[in-house]
Amino acid sequence: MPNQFELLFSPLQIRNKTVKNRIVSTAHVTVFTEDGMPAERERRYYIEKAKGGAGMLIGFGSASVHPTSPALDWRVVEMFDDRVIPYLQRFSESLHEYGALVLAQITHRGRRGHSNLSWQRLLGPSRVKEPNHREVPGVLKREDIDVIIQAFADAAVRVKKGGFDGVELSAAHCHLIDQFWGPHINFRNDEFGGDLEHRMRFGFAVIERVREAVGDEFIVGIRITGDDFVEGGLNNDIMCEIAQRISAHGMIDYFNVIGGSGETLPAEAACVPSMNFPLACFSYLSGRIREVVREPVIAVGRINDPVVAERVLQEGQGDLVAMTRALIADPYLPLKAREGRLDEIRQCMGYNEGCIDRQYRGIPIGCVQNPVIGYEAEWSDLPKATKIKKVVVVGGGPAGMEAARVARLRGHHVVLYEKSDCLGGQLNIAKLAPKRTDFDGVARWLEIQLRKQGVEICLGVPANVEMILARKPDAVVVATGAVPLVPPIPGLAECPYAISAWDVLLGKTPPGKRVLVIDDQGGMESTGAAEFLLDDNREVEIITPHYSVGEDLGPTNKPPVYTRLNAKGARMLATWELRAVENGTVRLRNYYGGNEAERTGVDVLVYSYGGCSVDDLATALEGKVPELYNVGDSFAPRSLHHAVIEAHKYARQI
Amino acid sequence: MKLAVCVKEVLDSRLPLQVVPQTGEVTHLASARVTLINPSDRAALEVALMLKDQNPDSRVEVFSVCAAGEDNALYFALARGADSVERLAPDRHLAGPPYTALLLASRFANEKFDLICCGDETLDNSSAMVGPLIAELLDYPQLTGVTKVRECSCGKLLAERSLDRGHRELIEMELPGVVTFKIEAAEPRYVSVRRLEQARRREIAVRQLDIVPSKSRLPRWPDAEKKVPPRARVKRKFTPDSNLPPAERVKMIMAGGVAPQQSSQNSAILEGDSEYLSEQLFRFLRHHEFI
Repeated sequence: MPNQFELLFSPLQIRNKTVKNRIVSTAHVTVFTEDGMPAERERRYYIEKAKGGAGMLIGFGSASVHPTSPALDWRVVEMFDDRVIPYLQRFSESLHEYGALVLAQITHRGRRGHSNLSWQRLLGPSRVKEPNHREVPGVLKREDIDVIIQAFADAAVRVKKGGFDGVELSAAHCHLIDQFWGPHINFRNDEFGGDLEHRMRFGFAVIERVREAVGDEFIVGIRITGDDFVEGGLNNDIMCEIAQRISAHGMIDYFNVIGGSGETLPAEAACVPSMNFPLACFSYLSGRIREVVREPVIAVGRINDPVVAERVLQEGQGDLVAMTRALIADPYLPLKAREGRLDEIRQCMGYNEGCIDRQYRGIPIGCVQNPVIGYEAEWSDLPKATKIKKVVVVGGGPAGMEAARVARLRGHHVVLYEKSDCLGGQLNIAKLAPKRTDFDGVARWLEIQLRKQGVEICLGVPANVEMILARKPDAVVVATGAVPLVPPIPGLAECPYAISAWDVLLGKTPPGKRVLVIDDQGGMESTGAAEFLLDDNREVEIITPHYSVGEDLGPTNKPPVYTRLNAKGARMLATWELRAVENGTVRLRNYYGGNEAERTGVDVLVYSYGGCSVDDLATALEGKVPELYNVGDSFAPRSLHHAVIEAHKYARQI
Repeated sequence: MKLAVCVKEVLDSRLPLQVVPQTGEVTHLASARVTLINPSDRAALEVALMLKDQNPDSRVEVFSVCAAGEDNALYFALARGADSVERLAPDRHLAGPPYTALLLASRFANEKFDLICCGDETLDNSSAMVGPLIAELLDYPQLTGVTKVRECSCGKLLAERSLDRGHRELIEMELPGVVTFKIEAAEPRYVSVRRLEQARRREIAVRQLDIVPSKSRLPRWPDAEKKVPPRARVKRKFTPDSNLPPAERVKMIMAGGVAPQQSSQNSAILEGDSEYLSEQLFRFLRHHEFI
């Protein structure tokens, strides 16, 4: 099919510039900055995207126009200081080399954040606290508003001096501009409050001052929400009206339309839809906006694949597609799609724990599938090995497969043993939980690459020491994974109705209506198993010693999981731990108070304490092979992200 | 029967490629230039050879428009059993599918072929233009995207074409005509190293055609950078009512735009044999425009 991606790879005119294709990486915080400046790590991260062929790169999520914007929690770019200009120049020069349009986002976050890092009080249109951060802002005075409007213009000029093609104003995620728009936030009775026309006055003042400052030969775009999913907030009807007025005003060159808002936890989770949402779930919002505006519109939200992207464009839901996380999972997606190498594209599965959920915690982003993210300077090249070696990898989970892939790419001869009859390891269990099927893509991609590159794969073969030594390997990578941990709690190991969360997903649950789930692991294990059993029409109560069930779930995963657990009727009890298991009775103890309680008539007890390393092979091989690496869960049971990074790191050393 | 096959040498895309930014030319990353016969041309050649196998009086002649040293595809054809191969030397200053088609059509105008076989698109440009242009220039009938030749006799060709979304079409064409084949039309036959070596030792005939393409005869080779498709029309998608509570709106989107109670009302369970079930499934998908 010569024109499979007819629209995706067609150019588009935006003001005086032409974007070479419709693929956009939207602005997002990376937490890579150094002292508020987009230094080398940020630049290298973006260079990969530009090399990969994306048409438009919007850098620096939530870059601050003014020191009063709470920004230290995510270490965003400080666009209010002239010292940023040389960094911007170096950044834009590097990306322009590959033909990408380069823009930067600027914003004032208003009341969205905490003042406990900068010790500057938050500012908002009115004294209404944001439910998410729960801090009451001070009210912006008339003269402060003027200062901030000018700060926007000054920041835009810095972006222009930095050699960028344009600037994007953020009026999404409930930042200052859309805080003014919000009828539930803005209760001012001066010219900036009241009806929609007055509430939009601040935003228009910013747009006008920025346009005046940067002139006609510069793109000025705006990021808005299509529906903020907040009670009494900016729903789709209001947002269509707002977009129409901005379009009629005629100074904005494109609309970048997200779903959700940063205001509440469920709305914040919708902003960067995880695998709990369908693909291209918010394209209807950009489609709605596109019906009422003349300017190009960017469709956003889980567009993880060029085929989906092309369909969004063909159905007119956008003129451009935001594939931000898709480009994190595989910066070379555009090139590969254009060359028809679709099965080589590492597809974003929307897990979010590696990227956005790390950012919301203020730690640098990565990708659970792509270990290079954040380490481009060290890892973007994969040099061939100086000496070709015979490498044996034991274990076909993500760690084993990633190790085999990297070792093979470096030129080694690799053989991989997997004791079960398919590759994937724990991914094959994780994908069985409700709304977790996308985990399958991780194993599928790795398997395709291994087969393409000619790794010898032995399925159904439990490797042992003799067998491995008979191969006379130069290096052995042990990635034998883990099994569910059974802690020494009286009665648990012998309990006939106790079952691990893993076995629940594998369909081994004993019959019985009343289910008690002990969530100690804090991740998706227990909530996934609970949901699995709720779907099986069982009564489920989840008990955890932590402050909340699924304590470690990231901010974009927890709300959808809670939404579904609530809808399916799960009961939850926090701060209680499992004490003992007796016949039909489960004893609990309060983690803090030490007082005890019990549950009687329990038919099924599901426990989730994480994994326990299977490392006998690694121990047995010690001293018997020239190079031995123990990676992933068999070294220490952790997450997929750890497994992939660790395997990648050691496979580079072989 | 006289069969002409048009082939092209392309870069082996299994090795790392790069685009030279200044010229837009695609080259291998390393200095070595590894080429192969364009895969769908290879299928076209194989179909021609199979037709010759069925009818031993036939003659398969293979043509390629290329500069000297880019004739790998012609050696490939010789090794597989082409009766003759010929290189048409192009003017250095002219390039692009319309010019290639013009050269080939001029060559075929002098000598009548019953069937002209081409690949449906090349690995490099994928313009899929050369075959159809030859047919237009010669005023021959044409079939594009053929996946299987059912029968070829009595001046007629019966073939299957692949259409969009997995549909197939069975179609008959009068000869002489032009057919472009998809890769799946035929698996290439095995050839021994000895035959390859023998082919390599042979001389390849070169023909220089002095043709100046007139602007009126040829369509312009479209400049990809300037081709902006029209603005796509917005297809109305399911949008939750703004008056519903936000949690309900999010739930609807998470459920894929379908409210749970609606889906249970609309769903139906079908029973029957596999033929009946697949027919019903096909109708359902068709009805809802999935295919």
